[in-house]
Amino acid sequence: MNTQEARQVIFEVLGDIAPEVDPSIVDDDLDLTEQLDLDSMDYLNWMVGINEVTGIDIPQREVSRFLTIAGAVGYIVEHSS
Amino acid sequence: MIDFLLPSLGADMDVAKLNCWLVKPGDTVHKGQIIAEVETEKATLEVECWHDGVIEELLVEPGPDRLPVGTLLARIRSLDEAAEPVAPLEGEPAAGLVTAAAVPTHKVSGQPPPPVRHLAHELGVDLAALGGSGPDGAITRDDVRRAARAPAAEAPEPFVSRPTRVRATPRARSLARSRGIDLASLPATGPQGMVSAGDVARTAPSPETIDEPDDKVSAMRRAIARSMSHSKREIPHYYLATTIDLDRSMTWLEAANEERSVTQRILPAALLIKATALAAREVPEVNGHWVGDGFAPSQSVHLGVAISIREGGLVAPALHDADRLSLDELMSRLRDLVSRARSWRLKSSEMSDPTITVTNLGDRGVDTAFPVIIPPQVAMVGFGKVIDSPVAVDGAVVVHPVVTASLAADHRVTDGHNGGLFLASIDRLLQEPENL
Amino acid sequence: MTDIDTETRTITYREAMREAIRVALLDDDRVFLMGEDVGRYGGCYAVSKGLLEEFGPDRIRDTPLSEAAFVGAGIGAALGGMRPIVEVMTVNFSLLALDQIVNTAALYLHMSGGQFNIPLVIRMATGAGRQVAAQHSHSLEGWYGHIPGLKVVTPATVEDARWMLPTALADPDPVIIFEHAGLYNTEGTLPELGAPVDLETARIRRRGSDISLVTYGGSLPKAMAAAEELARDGISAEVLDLRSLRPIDTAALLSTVASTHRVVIIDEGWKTAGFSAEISARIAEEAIWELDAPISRICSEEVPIPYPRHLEEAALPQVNEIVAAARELIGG
Repeated sequence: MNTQEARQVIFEVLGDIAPEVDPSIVDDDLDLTEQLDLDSMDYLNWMVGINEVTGIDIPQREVSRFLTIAGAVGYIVEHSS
Repeated sequence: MIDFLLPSLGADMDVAKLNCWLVKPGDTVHKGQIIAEVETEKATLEVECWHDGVIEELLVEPGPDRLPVGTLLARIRSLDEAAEPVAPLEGEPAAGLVTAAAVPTHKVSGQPPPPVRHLAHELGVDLAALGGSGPDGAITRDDVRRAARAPAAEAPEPFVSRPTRVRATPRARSLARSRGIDLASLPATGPQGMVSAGDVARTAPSPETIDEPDDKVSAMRRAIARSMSHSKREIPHYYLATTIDLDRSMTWLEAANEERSVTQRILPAALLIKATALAAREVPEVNGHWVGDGFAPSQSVHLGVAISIREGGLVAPALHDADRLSLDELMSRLRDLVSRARSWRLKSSEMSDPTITVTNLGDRGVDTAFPVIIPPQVAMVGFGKVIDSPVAVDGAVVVHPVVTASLAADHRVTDGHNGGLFLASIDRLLQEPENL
Repeated sequence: MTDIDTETRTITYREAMREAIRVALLDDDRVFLMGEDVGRYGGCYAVSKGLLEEFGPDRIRDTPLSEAAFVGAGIGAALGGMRPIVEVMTVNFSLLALDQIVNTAALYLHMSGGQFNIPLVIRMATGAGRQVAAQHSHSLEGWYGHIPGLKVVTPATVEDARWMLPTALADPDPVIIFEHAGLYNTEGTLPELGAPVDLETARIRRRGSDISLVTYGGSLPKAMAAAEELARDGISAEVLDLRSLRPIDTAALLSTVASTHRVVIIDEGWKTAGFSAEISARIAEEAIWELDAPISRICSEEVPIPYPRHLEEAALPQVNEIVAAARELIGG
């Protein structure tokens, strides 16, 4: 999976959780907690959704990478076959 | 040998005079043949016999004596039998009796006739204690009935539905459920003082007719405003708080999550919720509803979970039987509940069933919550942010994750003592996370 | 009276029923009318007046005073291929033919394994209000509505009086037509050209939105009058005429309840174990969540119908009772 595809998956799943979010205005490098008002449950649902679509597991110690879009994209690209 | 008894030939016939016999000993008789004539107060009646046989012996002479029903009048030898000496009377069921009740033979004097005895038995009257108003002091049906007459039964209490139940029409209930509105908070202007559909509709317009999330939110805010105002107006809140050391819980949680894939990950919130649910079992006074005039404890623990809705709004749907869910089940249900709540797909039973609610504002960076109870519940638990804090352990200072748990409770139902016990239970349960 | 411009005419319920019988006799040789006083006397309620003269004694048959006998004969005639219209003077006297109706007419199709239909039509007058005292004032339509194997209809309008009979005669199975004696003099307009009507559906006689008045037969005029009075108070009442008690048009019933959410049932029979109870049960079973008020029933008082006028009126359902019940359900 390349960056483009990874972004697509990420925002698709995010769209279920935060449907009003416009992907174009999200800053890739800023903390999503502040930007999108996500709480721990949102993060978890987001990661579960990504796992369901891509099959990629996200162990506890990697969770912090998902605090930003850039981190999430990077993780997925690294771990896709 | 067949006993021929005086049968009862009418519902109220107790006695009769034997007017005459139409047969004599030695006569062959057959079933259905009239063999005697008797006279009651109402009429003269013909009596038939019920068997084929030969008249062996006539035991009673025609005369003016009033004979009770069941009196042995004659004996008939059935055609199979050889003629034999008269056997002594035994108490066997009468063959010739026509009454509804099968009764044994009896002596002519002394005992009341079988129909009277039967009636007495039915009505629970002790014949031995009765005086008779019939001829020769005989006990009659009327005597029995008089004796049986109990003092006038108390008029049954008029049916009143349980006073704690909100009186609402089926349609009002249906609408209130679908909109997550508490019936007890509504005015009742319907017939017979019931909450009507109009009362529900006027209180909160239908979310079904509005599609824009914005409008849904403002409708929700109005409902929340009403509910919270009602709560603060009606419920005498008191507050308690305690700081809980979460070191054991968080350590256990980290290890548990190492073994789990992301889909099974357990959030700290799950531990807090489970501990609260179990504690509610230990202190049942916080788990239930205030209805009408009193507290109705709930048999189940349906934990309401306060979930914020994006762009403003709050719902607190129920996790049914939260105390009985394993931690994994609870986590999975919680995730599902949150995602459905945030996409407006909650079920009506989830809205109407919570017995106690938990609000978890830790993510928002709040240390301590001071919740407002959602009527008709009687308690709400709040958890603040989990923060690392210095604590004293075995005389030394260490840094542990701690959380402040607070309780808002209805002072009509509990006081500080129970409330304190409840928080202490939560604390204790969180020190043994492996048992949650 | 014929109004040629609009091609309708004004006609009484009695005349409509007479016309229905007459046309049936003309159209089909198998049809004949049989009952007490239907011939020479012209019918106890003058429904068959003039028919004996027109059709003769073979087709308009005065019977002996034995309901069991002539209803039985009607069953026999139907079995034999005729299409009899048996007139039982009133439902009160039908009790003497109950075994024929319930145990023979209603059951032969079943008991013969489907071999024998009984295409019998029984017409009966019913109801009270004319001071004919307890034995002559029953409303037992509900009893007959209880019996599988029968169809029971209660024409309340001139149109139904005219056009239910041909459908009933065409039915291969027994149909009982109840004519409330108080309706015979009512007038209505009929189109010149009409057609037979069905025996299964209810009709909305007046559209409304606040409350449903559900009724049948002789109580329909009272329900309509009550609706008028309620309208003056700004309450919009819908009136549903059941038209048939067996089968009941449950769909129409549920539909009106779903529309207004409040219902008053008006039935001249007694309340206890009466037909109104069946209607209530269906509503409670299938439309409970539509109800915004308890179900209300206006029925006759639980007494034998009295003879003195003021007592009879007090015993029967009245318009003011219907109005009061409706008001109470609207509440507020």
